[in-house]
Amino acid sequence: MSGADLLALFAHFAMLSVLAIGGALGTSPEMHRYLVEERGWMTHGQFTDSIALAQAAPGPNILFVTLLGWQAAGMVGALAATVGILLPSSLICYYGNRWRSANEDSRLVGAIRLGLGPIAIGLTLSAGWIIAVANNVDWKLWLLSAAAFAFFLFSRRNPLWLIGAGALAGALGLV
Amino acid sequence: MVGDRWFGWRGAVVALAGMLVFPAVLVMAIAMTYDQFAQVPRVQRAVSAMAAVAAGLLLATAVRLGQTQLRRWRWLGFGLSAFVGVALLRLPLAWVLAVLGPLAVALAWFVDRSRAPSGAPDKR
Repeated sequence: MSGADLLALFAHFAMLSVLAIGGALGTSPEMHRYLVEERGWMTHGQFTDSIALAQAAPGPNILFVTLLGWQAAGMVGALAATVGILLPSSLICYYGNRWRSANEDSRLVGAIRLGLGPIAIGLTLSAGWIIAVANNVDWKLWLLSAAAFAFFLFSRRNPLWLIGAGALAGALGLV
Repeated sequence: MVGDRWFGWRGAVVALAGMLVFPAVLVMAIAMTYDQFAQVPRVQRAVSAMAAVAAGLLLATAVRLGQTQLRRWRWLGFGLSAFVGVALLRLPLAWVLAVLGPLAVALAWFVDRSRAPSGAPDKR
């Protein structure tokens, strides 16, 4: 990957950092569109595998971004993507929190919350959908997604249990 | 935030790095190990199964969050529009948010003037 590509990767993730109103995973559909479909830097499988591994690994979920950067451009890519996604939102958080604390009851803060909340939900829905479409190559995986959906709809149990059970079922050839 | 409170912005940077560097190295090690075995069908299938569960988890999270908004169900139209734009039409996220974000916030600004989120009356 050329220096210009690396810069583009960094710039794109820095932009997404600002747009991450539904959390970092809410921007994953856009990452998929950019990394897989527009740039062709990785396959659908590499993309969804990165998200699955980061979900299963201990540590913050945001590290799926590190893996995506690594898939796209190795170590430098991992660094560019991670710093890109963290830097702008950290600065916004750092200064924004002070501003929000001072204006907690203001009409603008209320309007931002009310207006952007449903959009954040839509982005989370999009993330689940895009990962399912990119990952579920046959009906068994679709069935597993549907079962996980139903399970998490009613249970507050730690997701890692079901992710681990899924991995085991996959390794044993059950799904 | 805690780092900032006690040691200023340098503290915030060090705290963030400390929380991230070790898990980042760990997750990279896992990914590199997986790369060695990615050709093994069973290993591949195990990771695909994890991704399938993760997808179900995200969909369920979205629906549960949506349930908390049922009293404001009209606003979920914005969420649905975001889904159509981002997930179905595959438009760039920046375009979708540039249209929906200001629209939703402006509507909230005009419609919800009487009800601040904390229940406090608007001061203006």
